[in-house]
Amino acid sequence: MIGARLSETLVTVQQATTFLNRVANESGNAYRYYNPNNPDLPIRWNGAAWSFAVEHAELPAVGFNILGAVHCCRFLGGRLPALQERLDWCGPRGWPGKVGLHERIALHIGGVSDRPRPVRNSAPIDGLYDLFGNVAEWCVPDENEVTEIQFRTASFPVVGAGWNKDGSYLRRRYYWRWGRTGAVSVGFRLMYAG
Amino acid sequence: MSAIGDVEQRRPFLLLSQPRSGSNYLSVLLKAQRLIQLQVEPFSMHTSDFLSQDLRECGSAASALQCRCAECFSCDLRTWLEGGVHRGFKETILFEKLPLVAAWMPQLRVVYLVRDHDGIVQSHLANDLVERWRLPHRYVDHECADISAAAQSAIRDKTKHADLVRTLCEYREQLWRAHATRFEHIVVSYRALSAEPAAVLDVVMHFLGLERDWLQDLCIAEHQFGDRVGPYGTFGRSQQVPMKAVGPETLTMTGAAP
Repeated sequence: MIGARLSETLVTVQQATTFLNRVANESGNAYRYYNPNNPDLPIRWNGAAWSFAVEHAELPAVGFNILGAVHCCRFLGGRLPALQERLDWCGPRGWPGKVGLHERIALHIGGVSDRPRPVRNSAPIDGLYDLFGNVAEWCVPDENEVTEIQFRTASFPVVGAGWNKDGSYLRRRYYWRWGRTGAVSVGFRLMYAG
Repeated sequence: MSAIGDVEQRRPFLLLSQPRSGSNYLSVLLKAQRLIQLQVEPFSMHTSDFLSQDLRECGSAASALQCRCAECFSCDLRTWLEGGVHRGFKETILFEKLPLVAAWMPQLRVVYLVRDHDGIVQSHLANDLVERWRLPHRYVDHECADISAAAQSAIRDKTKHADLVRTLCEYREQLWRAHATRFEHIVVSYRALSAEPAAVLDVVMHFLGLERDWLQDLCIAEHQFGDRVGPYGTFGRSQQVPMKAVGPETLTMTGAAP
């Protein structure tokens, strides 16, 4: 799409919590968009609202399923990138032009960190932060909306490797995950219309 | 693909093991195969009761596994598992619930990864997981007298943590032996996986109707020879120590049609 652009970094805990608190049907045990059952995730339900520790505000939002990612992006004024858009941005090999596998692995934090790190914590590559291994990123297969049925039954593409993934994921342009799963190492970034 | 082959490939699988038995390593190797889609601990990490009620009969867990509403998480998981080829999930709970799991998904195949109990105990102690996972408090009122007594001792005396872990290991092993024949299954030794990962992976892949591919070989090489890129832990514990392989050396295959 001419003029469309990816956001320079990932959606953060602070942004995603705002989204959750504005969505009427998402409460502590709904698991419509966000996994409330994993006590290690930074966004917690306090009985009345979603909240997070201040020091976690700039962590990338994880634990969102594909439907949560789609709706959060829409709430924030963009949309979830389509797989091909995400790959096109990063060049024909799925990564920004001159970044080789060795450099990708060097930038990957898997095995170094036991948690995601705050966004914009390393130098940008082609204008994008957090490309390598902070968290992986949900995409939609094409530019069509994700339906409820697809969300429950289909697998969706994930680009990159999360903090708890080994370097082998960096050799793959993308892999597939069940859309219903709000995983600890999968976040998302916005695609803005041109 | 033949009709029979298609049916076989559509049979989901469960990678089952006790905690700290190398299931994250094996799941990483399996997921490296591009045709396999494997969910890591969907019941443990995406439901409220399965983990807290591990090794107990639990009404809500039973309801979830008997549910056919097509709306809830377990129904969605079953639909997803049955909706494609080479799909599976990994769990370290569900031992008490194996009969329910067999009824939930009769065609499920199981890869059971077994590690010697000494190794499991050592891994728990080295990572202080008895405290971090609050195992004594979780099991102090367990209906099994041995587990309850071991938990009480572990609350009073940290030197008894190993006894609690060992008691839990033995209990889970008994449950697996009691219910294994409900599933077509394969038993894989962690020690064999550590010593001969390619050979063991070949056997597992054959059981799943696939062949080992080059990305899996790379994973093995990284794990054996390279810098360890990836913690092989669900939450990537920073103080994780390499697991040592001691105990059973056998790799056995056991088939039992449900």
